[in-house]
Amino acid sequence: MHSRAPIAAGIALSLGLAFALPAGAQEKYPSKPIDLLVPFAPGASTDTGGRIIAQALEARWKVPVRVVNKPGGNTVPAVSEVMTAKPDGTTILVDGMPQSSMLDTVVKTLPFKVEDRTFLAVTSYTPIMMFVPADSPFKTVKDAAESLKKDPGSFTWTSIGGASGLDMAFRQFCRDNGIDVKKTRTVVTKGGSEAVTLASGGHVMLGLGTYTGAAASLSAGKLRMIAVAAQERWPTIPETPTGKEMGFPSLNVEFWVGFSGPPKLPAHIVETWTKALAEIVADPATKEKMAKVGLKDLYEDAATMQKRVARERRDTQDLYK
Amino acid sequence: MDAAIVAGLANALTPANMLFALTGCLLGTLVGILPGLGPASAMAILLPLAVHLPPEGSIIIMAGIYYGAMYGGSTTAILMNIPGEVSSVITAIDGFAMTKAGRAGEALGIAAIGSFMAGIAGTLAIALIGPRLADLALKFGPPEYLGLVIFSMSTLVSFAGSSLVAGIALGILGMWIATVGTDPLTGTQRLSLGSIQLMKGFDIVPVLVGLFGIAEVLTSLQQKVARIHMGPLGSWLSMIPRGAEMARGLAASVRGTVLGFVMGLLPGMLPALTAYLAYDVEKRISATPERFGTGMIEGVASPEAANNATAMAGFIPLLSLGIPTSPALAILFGTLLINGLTPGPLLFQAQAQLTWTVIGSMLVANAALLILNLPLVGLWARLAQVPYSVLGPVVLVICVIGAYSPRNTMFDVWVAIAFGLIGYFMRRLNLPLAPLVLGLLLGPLFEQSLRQSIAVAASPLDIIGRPIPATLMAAAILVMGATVVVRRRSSAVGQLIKDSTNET
Repeated sequence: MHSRAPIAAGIALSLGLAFALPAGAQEKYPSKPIDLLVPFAPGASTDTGGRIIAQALEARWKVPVRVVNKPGGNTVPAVSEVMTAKPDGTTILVDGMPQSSMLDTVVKTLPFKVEDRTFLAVTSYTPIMMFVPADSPFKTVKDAAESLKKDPGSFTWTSIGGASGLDMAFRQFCRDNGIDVKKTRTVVTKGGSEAVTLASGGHVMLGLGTYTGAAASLSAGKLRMIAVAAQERWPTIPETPTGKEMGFPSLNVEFWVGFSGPPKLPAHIVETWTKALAEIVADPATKEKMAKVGLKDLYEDAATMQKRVARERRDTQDLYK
Repeated sequence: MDAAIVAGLANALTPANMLFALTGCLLGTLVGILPGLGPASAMAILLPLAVHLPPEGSIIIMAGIYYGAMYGGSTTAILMNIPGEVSSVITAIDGFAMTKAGRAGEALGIAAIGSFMAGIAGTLAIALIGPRLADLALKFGPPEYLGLVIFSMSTLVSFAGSSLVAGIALGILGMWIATVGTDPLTGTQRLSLGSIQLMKGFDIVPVLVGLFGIAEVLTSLQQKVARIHMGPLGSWLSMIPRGAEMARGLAASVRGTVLGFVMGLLPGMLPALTAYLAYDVEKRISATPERFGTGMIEGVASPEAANNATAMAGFIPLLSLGIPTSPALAILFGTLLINGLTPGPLLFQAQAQLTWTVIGSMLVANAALLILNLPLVGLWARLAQVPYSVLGPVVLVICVIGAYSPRNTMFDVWVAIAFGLIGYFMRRLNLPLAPLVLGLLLGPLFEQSLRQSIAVAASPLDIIGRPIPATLMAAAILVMGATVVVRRRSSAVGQLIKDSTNET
């Protein structure tokens, strides 16, 4: 009979596994499906950035890596779920500024401590940019600053509400100009695309957003990009200066996509992740995929990521005093 | 440019691309028929797939799901009084009345024909104005939107049921429910009572799944309905309405198409909303408005055409401006980006062949949907001939999955069940569901456009002094006033309003 052999092999295998499990001090990781929790809706930068990595991890680890979107509630419900998950590496957060650096400034009564999470790595970022209607009198970001200083009470700009990367960039701009942000006129939109529309239609004086959101209107000549809130200029618009170059030193919001786990994630799991992420980000194929969705590859290991969050957190607290 | 159009259209007819279109339509119809599971969640589930398919293939499938759901949503609305999609909620009123009168075939027939007409007209309009349009949507600033939302709210009055006060109160209740969660302006918590779950607010999907799906099952179980489907469908040829009824249906489809398309160019005008408006327009211009709710063909034709036209219209701001006007289109936007395509006026030039392939596939898909929905409707309808003791639990399970899937949280399942009970008791008390739903949909739009208007305007005159908002607000007041006067004068109209808002 043919069928005996596979059965025998199956028994042997399961016996082997049964012995192997208690024998090894550490279970092989990853051996189970992994859930990547995204606290935003599908299609957002955090989501697309997370999915690119998820796909690469799946190919590498041969276990399902699922992206699960749990949007809403200022990211608190999704983050909370990761913070209380079993630290076995099967529940990981797709991290970013709103769900880490800015979170405890926005939501005062968090059921967890932001810095308690296990940081893994940063994988990509997209800088916040400032743009104005094509027919705006602001030729450069300095013109915008002059107008802001002269009459803050009539200065309209777009935010996506609460504490967001966009909101933070404008507050940094106000701080550099010595203006109280509360005196300005905030126009809150549901998302980045609406901010682009408002600016393109000339309904606000200054729009803020990412390159991806503004690209279409920019190439159609409806918008003029006046500043990039990052350390470096953005590759697709090399003519637009950074905030720092124009004399606004603290204008810097690199909206990043990274990964973190529940508190007390074992060291061998952290190591598996950081090693895999470093290699994935270094792969030219990944860089190309990121560039397509408007992200730029940026690898920072767990320690650097932790420092980044701490630095951004201090800045947020200062900006939202 | 011209060569690209021909090449693109020919490319849409390759077996692979036709298969993608058909797959999308099939999935979309299925999603449309299943209550709760909406196109946005189905597209979100399939988004990872988009990376593995060729760019045009993934976009064609996603688009097929999106407008396939608009077709499919009407089937269960007409046959079972369970709208498969929010956009078919209004179709259920006269559609189900026609089913009860044994004319399910005609109702399904005109829904499919109206949808097809809107789909084809919409596609042609995209091809014609898509590349040229870039400025219209930009003219609409916050005050203009505020005017539009206020005008939409005037329909509350005509959906108010037997009591104007109760109807308006329900509308306000809907808006109030929509405020629970995170304040869009400051990020602070509203009415969340310290609960992490309530911070997320009530998602529209579980609320509607509860109010319509679960409540319907509960009501039907209580009424001991053995079978829901009332009349024979007959052959598919007999489903096509004839004579004067066909003419009325077609005329209503044309009106629905135009209204749905024009409104659909604007962000926030979801297919569900334009279907509501289209129904309202039909009722207002009808010579026999009192017969709405008793199986008027216009009440099926116009909203079904409108929701499809809106779905098609959304492609114009999406492709030519990169503005997604609804959650489902936002996911399509993501699909485009994943494939390395940046929507914008340049898309029609830089990616001419691909753009025209997608447009060509819309024609293919609409033809496929007509086939899926006319000759094969009997197949879908068999779903409805299953005894209710079997179907009821199945629908409940689908409702639960549908409530869970958009945000992957059990909280939304509890919300759906709670709203199922609320909907059940509202039906027993003869309270209309429509104002509550309208409040839920319009509340956040109203809040946002009002707060934005206040932010950009130096004085109130900056809002109400602008021509577009001023006209819209004046129109809203006129319409509301006229409705109230007509209600007072005519008991027949009062009855119509009552009948049309109590769906069961």
